[in-house]
Amino acid sequence: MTKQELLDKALSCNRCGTCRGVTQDAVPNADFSTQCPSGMTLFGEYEPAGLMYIARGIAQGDLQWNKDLAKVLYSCTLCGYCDDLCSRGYRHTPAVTILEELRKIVPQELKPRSLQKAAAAAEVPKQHKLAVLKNYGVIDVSGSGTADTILFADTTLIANSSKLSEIGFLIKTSGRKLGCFIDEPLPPVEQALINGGQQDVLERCVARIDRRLKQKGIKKVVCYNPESLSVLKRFSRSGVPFVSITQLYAEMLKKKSPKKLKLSAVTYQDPCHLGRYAQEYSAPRQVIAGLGLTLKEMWRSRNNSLCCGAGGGMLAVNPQLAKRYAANRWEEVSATGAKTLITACPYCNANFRQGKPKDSKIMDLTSLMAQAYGYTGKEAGK
Amino acid sequence: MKETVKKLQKIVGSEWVRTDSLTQYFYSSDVMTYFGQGALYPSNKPLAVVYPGSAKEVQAVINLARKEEIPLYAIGGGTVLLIGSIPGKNDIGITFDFHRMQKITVDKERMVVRAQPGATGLQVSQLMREMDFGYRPYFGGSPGTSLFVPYQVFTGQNKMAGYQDGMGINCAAGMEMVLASGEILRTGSMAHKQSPGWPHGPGPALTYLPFFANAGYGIVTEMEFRLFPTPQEVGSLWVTFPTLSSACTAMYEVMKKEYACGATVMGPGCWTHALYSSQHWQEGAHFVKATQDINLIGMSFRGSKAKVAFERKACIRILEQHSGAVMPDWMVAILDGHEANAAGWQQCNSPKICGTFNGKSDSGGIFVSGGVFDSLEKLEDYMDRGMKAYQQVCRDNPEFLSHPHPTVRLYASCGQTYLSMGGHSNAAGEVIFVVDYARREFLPMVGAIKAQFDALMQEIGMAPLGVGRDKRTWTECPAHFSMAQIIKKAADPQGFLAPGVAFPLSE
Amino acid sequence: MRSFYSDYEPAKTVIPTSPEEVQEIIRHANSTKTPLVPVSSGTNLQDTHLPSVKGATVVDLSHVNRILYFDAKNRNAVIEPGVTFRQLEKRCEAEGLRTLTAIDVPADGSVLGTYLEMMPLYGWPKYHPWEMLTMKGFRADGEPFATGQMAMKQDRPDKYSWGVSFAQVARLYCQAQGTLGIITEAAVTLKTATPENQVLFFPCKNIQDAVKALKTFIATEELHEIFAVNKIYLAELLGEKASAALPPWTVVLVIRGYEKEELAYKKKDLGALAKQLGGELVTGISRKAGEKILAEIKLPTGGALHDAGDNQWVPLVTIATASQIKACAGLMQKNSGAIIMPLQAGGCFYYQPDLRFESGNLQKARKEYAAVSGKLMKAGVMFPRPSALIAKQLAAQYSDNFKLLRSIKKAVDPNNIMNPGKLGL
Repeated sequence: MTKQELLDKALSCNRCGTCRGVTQDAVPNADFSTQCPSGMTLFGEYEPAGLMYIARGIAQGDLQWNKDLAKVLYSCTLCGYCDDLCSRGYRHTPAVTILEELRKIVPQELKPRSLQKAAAAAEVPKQHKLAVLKNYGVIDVSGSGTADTILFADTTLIANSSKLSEIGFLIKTSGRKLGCFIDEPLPPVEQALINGGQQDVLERCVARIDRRLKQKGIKKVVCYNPESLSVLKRFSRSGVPFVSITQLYAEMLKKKSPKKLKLSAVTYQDPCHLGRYAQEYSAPRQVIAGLGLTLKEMWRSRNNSLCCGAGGGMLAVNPQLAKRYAANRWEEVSATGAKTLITACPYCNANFRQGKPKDSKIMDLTSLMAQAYGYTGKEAGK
Repeated sequence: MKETVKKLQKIVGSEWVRTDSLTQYFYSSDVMTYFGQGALYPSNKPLAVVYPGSAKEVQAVINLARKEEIPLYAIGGGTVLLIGSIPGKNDIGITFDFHRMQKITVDKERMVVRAQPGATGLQVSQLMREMDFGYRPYFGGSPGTSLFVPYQVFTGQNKMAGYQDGMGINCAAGMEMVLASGEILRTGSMAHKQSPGWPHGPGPALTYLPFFANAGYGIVTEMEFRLFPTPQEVGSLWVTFPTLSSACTAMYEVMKKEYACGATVMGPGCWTHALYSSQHWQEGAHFVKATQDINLIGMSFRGSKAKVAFERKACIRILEQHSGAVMPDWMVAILDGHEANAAGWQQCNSPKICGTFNGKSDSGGIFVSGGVFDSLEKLEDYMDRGMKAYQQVCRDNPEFLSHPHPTVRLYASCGQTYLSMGGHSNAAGEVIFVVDYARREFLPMVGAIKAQFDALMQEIGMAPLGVGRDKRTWTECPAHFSMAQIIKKAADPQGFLAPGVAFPLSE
Repeated sequence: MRSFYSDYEPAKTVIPTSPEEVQEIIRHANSTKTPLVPVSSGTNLQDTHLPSVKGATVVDLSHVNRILYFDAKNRNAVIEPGVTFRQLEKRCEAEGLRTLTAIDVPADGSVLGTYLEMMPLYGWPKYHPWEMLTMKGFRADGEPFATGQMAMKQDRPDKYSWGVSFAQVARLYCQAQGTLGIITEAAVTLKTATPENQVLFFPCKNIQDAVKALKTFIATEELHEIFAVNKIYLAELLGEKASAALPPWTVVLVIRGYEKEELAYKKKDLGALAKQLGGELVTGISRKAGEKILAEIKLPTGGALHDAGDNQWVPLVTIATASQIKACAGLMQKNSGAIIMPLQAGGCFYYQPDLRFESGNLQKARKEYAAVSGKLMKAGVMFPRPSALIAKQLAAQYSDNFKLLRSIKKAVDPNNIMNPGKLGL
């Protein structure tokens, strides 16, 4: 992107401030009518307009990169609310594109250390645990096995045997034939590459993924991690549909009834990369309904959902700030009266664990599904 | 400054004092300076920005600034439209940002909503809607703005309800302000713990001191606003006229009978105002561009079913007598969405509309000229002659006129709601240009048009709004300004509150 | 001139006939340090026109009484302080317009003085207290001042557009009791005289019911005038004895319009609400009651409505919330009259209970007035324009407001010549 292109885009924002608030008609507490984790916590230049000012200043030469600018840039969770709201009816400021460009052009030395190593996220770890899946009949498509639909093994899954076991159990229980690149895994790409300004690495990895999908004639890819789902949907040119694992669960619930879970009313966090980025709002709700749970929606939900605070690499860059961001959301959880917060994103899950009120629970939708179908955890060892 | 920063950090916490280059850059400009790139309105950087968390902290900062003779400026919600929050000079002052103060409480008995300066109109509306007890606030302007932005509080008008509810200033019931001395002043409904929601008194009303003073008399830390009944029903009417003159005559008749709760007469080239609350503003904007010669009256009704039906019918009769033609349904559909405004809820498309005029999004409105007229006749005259002045500048600058997309568009309105409390006939007009930001070379032409409009205002008889740093208040209204300066001297003898904004910088 | 509130007689009265003479008088008073008391018509219910100090000169403005400009089309008039309601209404009548009048301010009262002192207008529930547009006059130091378009050097008679941060200054001169200067000209708004007018009555058992009814009816935004009166006040309005036939409290609703159909829908809407409130609307509470109310609103009688021979009347001019009215009603005498008018859609009320006393009992009555006022004040009831008897107490209660007002007063009136002793300044 040239400086002029960046400027043209940044100037779309006229600082009207509407993206600082949600658009639903009513809220019970003015604290729940705010948006943008960094803006609503740190204000001023930490609001979307402030970030657009960085772009404007850099493009025009009014500002020079320094650590203050970097601090603001890396306080943003890239949740996409401002971009989505603006394109829904304001001035079409392509905020996400601008922010991603800024993360690309920021001098390397100003990048937080955790993000400097972002490219490593795309590498397959030597000690991956994907073999667990074989215990549940998942076909390894890296060898001679074939399957139309595969599970995408992302960074959060690839070395996580207990989560792999839960998913494997669910696949087996559903009776569906599913594959995975097990012995020669695909690059476990996800949003982290964008957070670190490594979009070129991401694009190269996705091109590799595309080639292998084509070679194996894969018709559909199921993603557990929304941050992988969203980047694959955006960058893949394969034409293969990428879907959230929650869709798989929703279908399963229609065919096979689970046992009743002993849970009072629950609420649900729309992960930014599942909702706003991948437009998947209904499947997780179908799953919650299918599990027979009473869902008490938060006021900021679906495309108005408030980011948990972990996005943009925040959990690694500044976990303390990520925890601060989560605090407002926990208040909203309490206000619904629900005691359990359900989410379908490993990062939301991890961040919400920080600062979780004692009387509240946080549950991953996958774990909940596994429980409902009788998964005990002992299966993992088998 | 380093020592001062340390002291400020001690007051508000180290996180809440910022002096970095981005902070200074961000607080040095607003929409007006932004789109004009400083050519029409200057950008001035603050030395530091502080984010107080309470009136107590505001007091302490004021006391410090007074001792150290540092000018203070204030910004409400951070959406600044009209230069009121930009320091009077580069690198001389400290800016208050009130984002940490967003508390909103509603008192059903006294029927007021109390808000801190960081709260936005949208937040108040959302809270009141959830409470749903038959009453609502009334604000104009864009939903993201602080209630304390002078634009919002003073001229903030809702084009579909303002005829009855007036403007922002009519809603103020009381306020809490920290004076230059560091003392706290509570007026009107906040003067006593149980004061009724009444702004006037006791004695001469001090509630109105902060309006348009842009922090020149003191720093407001809380305000109370009155509430209005939520109507049972709302309705609207859009009528076109062959000439602006016939529309104005018809409007007079409606005003005389005091029908409708909001009404706006829109002349050729400026019926964009009809999109103010439209849901389909994008289609509308294209439509407006294609039909520049339309004269239009848009009005709304509210109240009981019978009231809405009666007034609408009566207005159709009146307007048709003056050659008005009721807009067909398919056209009205483009304007759908104004019901929320007619009911008095805040709903404003201004930021959106500004972005659509040149077909790209990097355009914005420059507030060129605006003011209050006392009659529609004067407004009509202003519109007519203003348009000619505008066209002349275009003819003199062919590249300006014949730019491939309609780069510059006159967006003048014939607002009929400003000073219309209870159907009074005062009118308001504003002229806003939508300019392609990237075309810096067009700014002198906009400046030339602005100068002509300013001269016209004097000639025709119109008072400047006095928004932001409108120097005409100082130079053209000495009999008013000298009294304002007396108050200023009594309230802020050292003159460290917002010098160079509503009051001139001392040389 | 002895009044309920003040014992001082003016030393002298001057009668200017033009604004220029007013300025001359102020300048002269500054040089001789003579206290000035501006009087427009002398009908102010709080006696702000009577001196609170010895040796004062009354500036009688009743001869500065031109209607400078009358704009029937835009429904505005530019008037001088001596213009009376009767005078302006006569002009309005010829043009199909009407003047907004005030509760208990007589037809011969000054329009400008009444509006400036914010005496409660019958039209406030509908039109809110913004009846004045721009103004012009002289500050206490003799310098000219003006607001809005009147502050601009434009040579035209029709300068009534607000603009230029008018409120800071204009509203400071409201309820100032002449302490900051003398206004010599103001633009005021006029309303249309409607051909169809009707008064409806809603009888209530007690004050709480009346207040509740006021809040309910005003929410329709269909009324031109609305207030509630107790039996004593109503009897006086109707020129009758307070007989048992009149209800303890009555809400008076005035509906106006241009067509019969307009009044019909309003009557129906209001009738439905009356039913919800458990009552009924009555058109004739007594003979010609409606006509009498309309006549009083058009050209009010003034305080004389309540005086009868030796029996004198003094109002408590307050703004109160519904619960304050309820709490304070018990403090009043049995023979007190009272009128309540909803403001801010019923968020607060103009509440004017009164004291009745025999003219021989002035001192006792003053004590009682101060005692009751003190109790109301403590409860947070606002006395927007305090009389001299309670001004100091009020200034002490609202010390932050009055501290700033005092420094403004000192800056604008260094010789303290404008109505000294008022407002606790």
